[in-house]
Amino acid sequence: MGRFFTLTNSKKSFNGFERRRTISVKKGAGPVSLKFITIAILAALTLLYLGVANGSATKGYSLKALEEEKTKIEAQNERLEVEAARQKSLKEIENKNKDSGMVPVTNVEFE
Amino acid sequence: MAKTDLNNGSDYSERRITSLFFILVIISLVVGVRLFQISVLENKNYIAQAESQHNVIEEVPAHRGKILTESYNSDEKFELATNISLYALTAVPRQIPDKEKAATQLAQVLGLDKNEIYSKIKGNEAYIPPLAHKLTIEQADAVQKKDIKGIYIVPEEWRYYPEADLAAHILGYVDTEGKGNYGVEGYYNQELSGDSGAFFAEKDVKGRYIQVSSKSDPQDGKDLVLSIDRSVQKYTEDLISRSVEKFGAKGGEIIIMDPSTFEIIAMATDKSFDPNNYAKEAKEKTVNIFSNPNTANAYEPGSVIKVMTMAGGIDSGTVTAATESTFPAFVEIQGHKIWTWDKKAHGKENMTQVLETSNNVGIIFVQQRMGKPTFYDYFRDRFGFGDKMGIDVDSESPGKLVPLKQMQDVEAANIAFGQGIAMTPLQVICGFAAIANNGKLLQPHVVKQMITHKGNQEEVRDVKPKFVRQVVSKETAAIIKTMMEDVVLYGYGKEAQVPGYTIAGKTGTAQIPGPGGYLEDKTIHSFVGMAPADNPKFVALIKLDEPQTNPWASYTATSVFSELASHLFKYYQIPPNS
Repeated sequence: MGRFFTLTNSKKSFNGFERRRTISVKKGAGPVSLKFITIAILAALTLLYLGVANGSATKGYSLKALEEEKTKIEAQNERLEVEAARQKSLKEIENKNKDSGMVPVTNVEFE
Repeated sequence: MAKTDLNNGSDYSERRITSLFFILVIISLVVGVRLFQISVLENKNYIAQAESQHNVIEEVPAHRGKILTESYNSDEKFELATNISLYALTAVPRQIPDKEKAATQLAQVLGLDKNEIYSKIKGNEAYIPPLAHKLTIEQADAVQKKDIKGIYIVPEEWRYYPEADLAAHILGYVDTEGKGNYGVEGYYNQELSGDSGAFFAEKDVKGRYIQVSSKSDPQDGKDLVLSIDRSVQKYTEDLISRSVEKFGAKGGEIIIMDPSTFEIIAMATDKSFDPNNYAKEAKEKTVNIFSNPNTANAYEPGSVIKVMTMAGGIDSGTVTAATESTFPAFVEIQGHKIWTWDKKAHGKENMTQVLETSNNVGIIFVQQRMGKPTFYDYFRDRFGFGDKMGIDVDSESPGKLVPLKQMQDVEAANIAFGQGIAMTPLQVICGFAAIANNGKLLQPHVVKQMITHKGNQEEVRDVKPKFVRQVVSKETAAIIKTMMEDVVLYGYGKEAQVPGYTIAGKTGTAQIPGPGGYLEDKTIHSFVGMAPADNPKFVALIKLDEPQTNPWASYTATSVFSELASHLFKYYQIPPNS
């Protein structure tokens, strides 16, 4: 039990325990790491492509929706123009002016 | 013993693994071959299929050009024909789960007959003709709110005529396939239709457009501006209807033309139609209702044609206005007696008086002096009778003039006073307009401007009058106009007078051909006049078919002309010149 509380500066203890301190680590990419990195890059590219395609599709939907809105407004405008043309028609003017008391021109004087 | 068992077990396992390996190889081979077949050998087919599923080419229809008109002294253009966006109700019967319910819902919303709708959708077809056309946006929204499976609302563009039956015969109509028929709609169908555009797009699984990859814009049809004066056209249509009723006629036409340009100012008939409901009109009246009688129907014009014979006689130097002769009550040619209209001898008359008294024998004198070849030359080759005038509306008749080689002497004599020749009202007025225009024949037309739309810009092109030929000399035309003035002042055109104005004109009471000759007591009355006589602003033809109240044009058609001319003098602010 005493040996568990023995304090020593040495890395080594005469009880056979060896304490090691990491000074530097040599890092390297092995085949497994390369596979992971490759898969990760591919996944990222795939996600990027999906993002762009999706963005393009949604823009396309928005554009189409705007075009349909434009067509609707143009159609409304057209209906108003048609109604204006109908109101200006001679038959319509004739009907409206029936009770107006207006009479055809009879004598005209030229100077 | 154990070692042997182990060896046997090991062999067995190896065999199983080998078998499995070969099975996997075979499956891989099959899959590989199939992959090769699909992606290499049939590559193009599958690409095409995929493209057809998610790539589409959609047509973008062009808007049909409008037809516009103006009124005198106004810059405003009025629409005679325009376009309106409405909706069609379509159905795919095989997609409708509950057809009974669908029919009930549609009948409620649109006020249609439920049984009629059900009978159309009860089958299992993929396509049936539209259930209804011309739905308003309110009706379309109401149907869409019901959200009935298999029922669709499709936008469609229809032709709309805001003035209804005004100038209907000049306009024609557009059918359900968007094609113009009759009138200007028919003649200028290509210019009015424009060219469709298209866009190429990708669609998703639900049929929604994802991306438009390329687009070609449609070229909308050209707008046409007519030479017709809206107010004069309306007035003329009312006038002919009133006149037909007043004189108990079967029908009637009026044409008004500007002799300096041969533009048609108005062209009216008493029988019109509403091009907004052309299908209904065809059922209720007759399909001939669409044909413009002013350009398509030929008739024997009678004595109005004496002016052309006289013009030919004077221009060829055969006679002058002062040439005199004594004229009996009849002349006999090839065993046929041709009488004066009153069956009386007119005695000594000069050529002006021949026109004033509408002397048949006198005009035959002119024709015979000219000789058939010269007479035929003026009628056929110079005035262009027996040929189309070339007006820009659909369905023009050339009329009928017997060829020179087949023309008998008696036929030539009849033609000289307007019988034995069939002419349209347009041909008649063109002859007079040439006289009014110092002898120049131009091509009649109703379109005076074409407007092309290029984006937000408009390109306006004026239709210039087309010179056809010099029919008679300027001097001859002046002499004829003076003679026609005398017809109105002293002859049978007195009822055409308008106080304060000089008017030149000629009457005609023509017999109508029938079985075995001409009909008894049935005539066509006409008067052609131009005013003011010294510099005519307008030429007008009045024609009444079989009027009952009076046997002579000198009391019917002339008075209609007087009323018309009086109105036009005020409208165009033409001061008196007499």
